Amino acid sequence: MKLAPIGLAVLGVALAAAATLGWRHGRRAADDRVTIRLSHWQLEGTVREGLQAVARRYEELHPRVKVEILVVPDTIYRQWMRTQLVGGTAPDLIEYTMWWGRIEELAPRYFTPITRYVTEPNPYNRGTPLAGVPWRDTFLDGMNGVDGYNTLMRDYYAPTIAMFTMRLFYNRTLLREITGRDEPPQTWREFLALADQVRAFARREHRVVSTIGNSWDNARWLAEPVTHGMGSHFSPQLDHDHTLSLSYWEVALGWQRGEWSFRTPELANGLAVFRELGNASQPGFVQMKRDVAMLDFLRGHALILCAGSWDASSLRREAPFEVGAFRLPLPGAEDPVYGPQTLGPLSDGSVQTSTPFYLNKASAHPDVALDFLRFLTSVEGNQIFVNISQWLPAIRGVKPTDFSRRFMPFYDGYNWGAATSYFSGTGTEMNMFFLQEMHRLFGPAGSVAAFQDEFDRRGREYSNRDLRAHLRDSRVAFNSDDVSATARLWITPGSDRLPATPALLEAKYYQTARVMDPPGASAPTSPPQSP
Amino acid sequence: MRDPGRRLARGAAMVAGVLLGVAALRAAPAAPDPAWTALARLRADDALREFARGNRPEEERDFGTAVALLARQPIAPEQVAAARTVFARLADHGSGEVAPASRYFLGRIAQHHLEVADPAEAARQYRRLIAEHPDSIWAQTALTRLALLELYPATAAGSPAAAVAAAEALLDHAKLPAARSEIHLVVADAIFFYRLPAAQALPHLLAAEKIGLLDAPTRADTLIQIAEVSVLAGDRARARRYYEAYLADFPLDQRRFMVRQKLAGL
Repeated sequence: MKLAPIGLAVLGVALAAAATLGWRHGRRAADDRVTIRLSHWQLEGTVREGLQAVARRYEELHPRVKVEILVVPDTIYRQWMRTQLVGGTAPDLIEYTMWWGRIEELAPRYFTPITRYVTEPNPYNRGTPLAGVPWRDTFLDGMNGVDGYNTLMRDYYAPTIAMFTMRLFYNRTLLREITGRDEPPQTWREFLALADQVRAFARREHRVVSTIGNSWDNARWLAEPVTHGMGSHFSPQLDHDHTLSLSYWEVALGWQRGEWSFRTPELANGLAVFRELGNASQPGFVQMKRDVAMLDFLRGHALILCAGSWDASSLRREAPFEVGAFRLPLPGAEDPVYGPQTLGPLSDGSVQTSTPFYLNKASAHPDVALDFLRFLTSVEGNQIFVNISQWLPAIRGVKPTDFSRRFMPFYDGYNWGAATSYFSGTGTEMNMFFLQEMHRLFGPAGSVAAFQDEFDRRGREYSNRDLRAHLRDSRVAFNSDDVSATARLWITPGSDRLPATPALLEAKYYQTARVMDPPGASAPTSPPQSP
Repeated sequence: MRDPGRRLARGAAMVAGVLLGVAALRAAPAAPDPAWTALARLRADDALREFARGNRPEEERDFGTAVALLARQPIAPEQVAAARTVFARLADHGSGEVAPASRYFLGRIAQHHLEVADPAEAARQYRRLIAEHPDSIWAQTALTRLALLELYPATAAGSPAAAVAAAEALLDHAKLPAARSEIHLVVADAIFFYRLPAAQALPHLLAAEKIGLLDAPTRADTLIQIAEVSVLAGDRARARRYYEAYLADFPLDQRRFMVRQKLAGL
């Protein structure tokens, strides 16, 4: 039939026209709204759903606004974000963390400080106990965490939405099968005994079971509390500025000055404990990613998984067994081997909130994006997020769920600093070196001495890179500050702030430079407590 | 048919609306200057365009353009040199705050913007600025930068104690509370850095805290430092006061457990 093609053509045109009209109608509806975009990398459990729920509630309150959420896996997030920022196509709100490094370079160039807003109340807290409270003070950490407040730029940048603790999650069913008990070990020696029991059980039953399901990522999370906790007896010796807390500079410059190394007895003990934990893990774990460790745990091939509370909701959803959680029982004063060189009790670290969102300087709708941030971190917004994500709250007065309550941090203990750690010492390069070389600690051929030897041999090379990068980035930050502070002073004369980087921070640049390149005889002397 | 009275009323309402709108516009605060606003956000290209086309005094345009050149990416040595030339002219011949601000930038360029820093030249510019415009905020800011150059000299000459003394001497010129506060803080910090007797830092920490301009994290640190150094100096009463002030003012800080332990041990 000749008519058929014509009919089909007419029908096609009609459908295309209808589709175009429909598309245009849809576009019009979408275009009528202001669209803001937010990016993050949180693929855990129900976190995506939590953020989506906050966005939908915000859209209900503001029908003229659409919130689009982009989820990019953490394996490519940093490269993706850089590309988007350079290309001018980055979202309005961007999750980033200073732990990924180079924030001194990124912040002045791409992110808008929110300092002038943080002293104003969050309007979305009207009718709650936080009504009238400055936005900054509604956060559990007073927005003074490493991402909330940038100490180098002396500006507030990124509101946060959650708080995390590290925990050892365990398979309660398997623990009962191996030991006949429900309760996890309470002391370091009990933990070592459990590891022996697991090895014996695996041999006897011909089953593949390790005490810890570990990976390169999980080991990193273990290294932090172990080196920090075991080093807590030594840490006061580095607190030269008497703040009861170690700054990045005290640790980094202390390393460079030879005030500490991984031969320092307390830190060597930390390595020994870390080695025991590694040896209780499945062979070859340093080559594996976190997904493998979790899979091992979920399949019953590992009794324990070291993870952050961020993984708790994933574990609850995926595990076909009852999951328990406990704090890593580091050796305390009662320990026969390490006791004299420990200090306890240890806290879970500082009250630091996390999962920060930075406001893109190139945002086409900065006011709307900022307003969404306010809602996201209001009592209502954070409660919606917490209820669905099962993460711990970042905002005062927001209640954790019954499930997440068990991961609340333990504060009543010693902690010598949240913004620094021994294993990352001088920065990201040294951190990477530690992780690349940690395999020397584990297995029959591994030892603390082998790791120490390698650090003695090549550690300085990496710390030099960190500190040189720090000097470069600092100058970039000072120079940017000169320009933006001058502009702010021109716009608002009469400020009581000097138009420059605070001198106390600029002093750290000079101290670093002086340690890196001491001017001959007047170089600062090292204190006597060098190991 | 349309009611002419209603049309008249509607016309009158429109005129009134326009007049009200104009009045509202006149009453509204002036819109922020787009060039300086762009610069505050470090959008140097936008700022340079605005400075080039804006109708503004020549000195402000030249000064703003030179400041923007220090931020335009990628920063080439040639544009820093061009900015330096403009600042040199304005520092000698500019009026109002443009002259001291330009002198300050000559110091900053020598201190940090050049590929190879020239601390001696930076100190020379700062000293001249402090002598010529002692009350300007730029001179007061220069004092704090000069304090850093005194505290951490590039040459081996002089002892840490002498460096600290030289920086302390600058306090005589610090008129703005912010400048005094910053100098006290950096002197105390240098005393710790050089491992000089910690008690020497105490008067500086007390002075900085008393001025009252510290942001929250710095104040928390300073209260603890005063308490800790007071313990070392044998002044337990003062230590107790400052530990307690910290506990009262920082309910969420991570060091509360340790401070309570310290208090219990006094």
